[in-house]
Amino acid sequence: MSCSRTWEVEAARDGRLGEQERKAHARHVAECSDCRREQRALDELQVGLRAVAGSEVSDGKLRHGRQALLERALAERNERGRARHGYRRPLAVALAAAALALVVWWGFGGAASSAIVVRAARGASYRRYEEGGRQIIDLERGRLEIEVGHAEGEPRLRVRTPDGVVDDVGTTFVVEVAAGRTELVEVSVGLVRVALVGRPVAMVEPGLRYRPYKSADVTASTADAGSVTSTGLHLDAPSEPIAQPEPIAQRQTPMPPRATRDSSRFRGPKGPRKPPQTSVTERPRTTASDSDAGDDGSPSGRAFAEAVQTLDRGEAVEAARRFRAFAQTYPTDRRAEDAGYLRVVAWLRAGKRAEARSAAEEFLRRYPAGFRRQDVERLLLH
Amino acid sequence: MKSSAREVPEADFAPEHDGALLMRVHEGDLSALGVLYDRHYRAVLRLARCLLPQESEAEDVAQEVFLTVARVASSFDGRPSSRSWLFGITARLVLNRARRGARFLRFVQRLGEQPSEVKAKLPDETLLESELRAQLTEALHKLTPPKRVVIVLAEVEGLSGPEIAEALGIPVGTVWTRLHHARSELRDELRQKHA
Repeated sequence: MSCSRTWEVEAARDGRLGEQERKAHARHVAECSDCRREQRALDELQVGLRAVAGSEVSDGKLRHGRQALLERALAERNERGRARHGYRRPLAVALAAAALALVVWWGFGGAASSAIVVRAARGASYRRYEEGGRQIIDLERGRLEIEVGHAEGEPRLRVRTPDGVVDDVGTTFVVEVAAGRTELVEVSVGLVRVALVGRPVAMVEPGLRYRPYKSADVTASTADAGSVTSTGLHLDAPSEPIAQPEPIAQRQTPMPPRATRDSSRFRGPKGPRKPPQTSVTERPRTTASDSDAGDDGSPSGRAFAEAVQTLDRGEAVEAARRFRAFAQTYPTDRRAEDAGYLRVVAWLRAGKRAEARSAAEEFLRRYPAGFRRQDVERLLLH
Repeated sequence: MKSSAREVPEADFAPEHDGALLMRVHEGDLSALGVLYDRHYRAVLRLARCLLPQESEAEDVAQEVFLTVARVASSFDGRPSSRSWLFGITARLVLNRARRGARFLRFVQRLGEQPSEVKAKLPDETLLESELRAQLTEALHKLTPPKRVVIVLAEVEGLSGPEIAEALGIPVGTVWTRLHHARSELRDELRQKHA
């Protein structure tokens, strides 16, 4: 490859060329076989990388994954809620538990072998049994009113309808089946999970009535019945702010700063993006966190790594000297551009502004469309 | 039972942009998380597959991304698409794993083992394509995780340098440098294999 402008192919591809440069580059590529070859090589690399990404996920797998995710998210939220409230209101919880136990015991005539009461409307057809430690009700048609009081560790109740399942989470609710499908789930206490074939999973809260096949005729019989989401799954906003997440890899890739819980944190669609800022005191992470850009065992790698370490130790003038020596000794090394940039940074850290400016101008002359052009231009403005 | 409930309809949903969905997630509406999942899971998994050698690990990370979203929804800035933000979370999770598993990986590499699970094969690919893909996969996993993340975001997901910089919280110059180094190393590696 003899063309000296093949580097422009990558620069153009990455959007690092200005408009004029891009036009000139396009004209050049039309005439230069080396650059066209370079372009093809990069295209092929991209095609290959896209193939590595593998086959598409099927809709079924996506649905399965979605279900698993929502269950885990719900469990996590409940766990957080318990952890938050556990120590604050132990007395209230104890009293509530005692009251519930009393009600359950009294409600079922003291025979608390089962804390599940089923009241069937006339004409209802159902069968009740236990399966795998869980109470099951197969509801063929009609209406059941069910009360469930859970003791610790007690199995849940599942109502199977012709077209799905209704799981209670400790509650009092009604299920109605007609013409072979679930027509109504109405909850007065607790929370019910409704999973019907071909429908999104719905979590129905107290005070809500869920009619899966009724798309119109929306009525609110009580003004304060609570908020509802139409795809089904809904949880009340927790009474406490959501727990602060654990910071994830802050050093490497910090999360955006957290906002307060106030909804004003959502700023709406974003305006023009600002380019990420580079502090003049920040050593580019290309060399430090990216060890391959440093010592790879070769003489050039060692020289570069030593220069970086020198800068890390705070010996900025010596580091600037080493980066210059590196760029002169290994002008075609892939780290030469980094060295040029780091030399500017080193001079700035040493407080030598004139030398920094000179090094920056030299960098821009040598790498007019370099990776660090914007950074260096910004440094020059300081 | 006293019937004082209000109806929950199955309404038609006008597609909401990601900012609005994440706001709902933050306010406790997990159905919005499901919508986001349907919208972006495939892209997140695609990225995770390129970054991790094992399919099962990639799937774990992709799930973990959306669980993380449920916890940190409030930190999203409200723009219409959250894709690059999700990619940022994916990359952080992968890099965390890479750090945690570095010692184990070194041990495995010393034993000369290759990643145990190769990606699912496309049904119609030829043996040659399959071989090239395996070579490229191997070369990709020889890159350092930061370089791997950047090249996959650029070449597979088509993010621009500034978008990647924002997703990863690094200067755009670093993105371009890593991208350049990653391409060079991949090409060198493939050249060596074919020499």
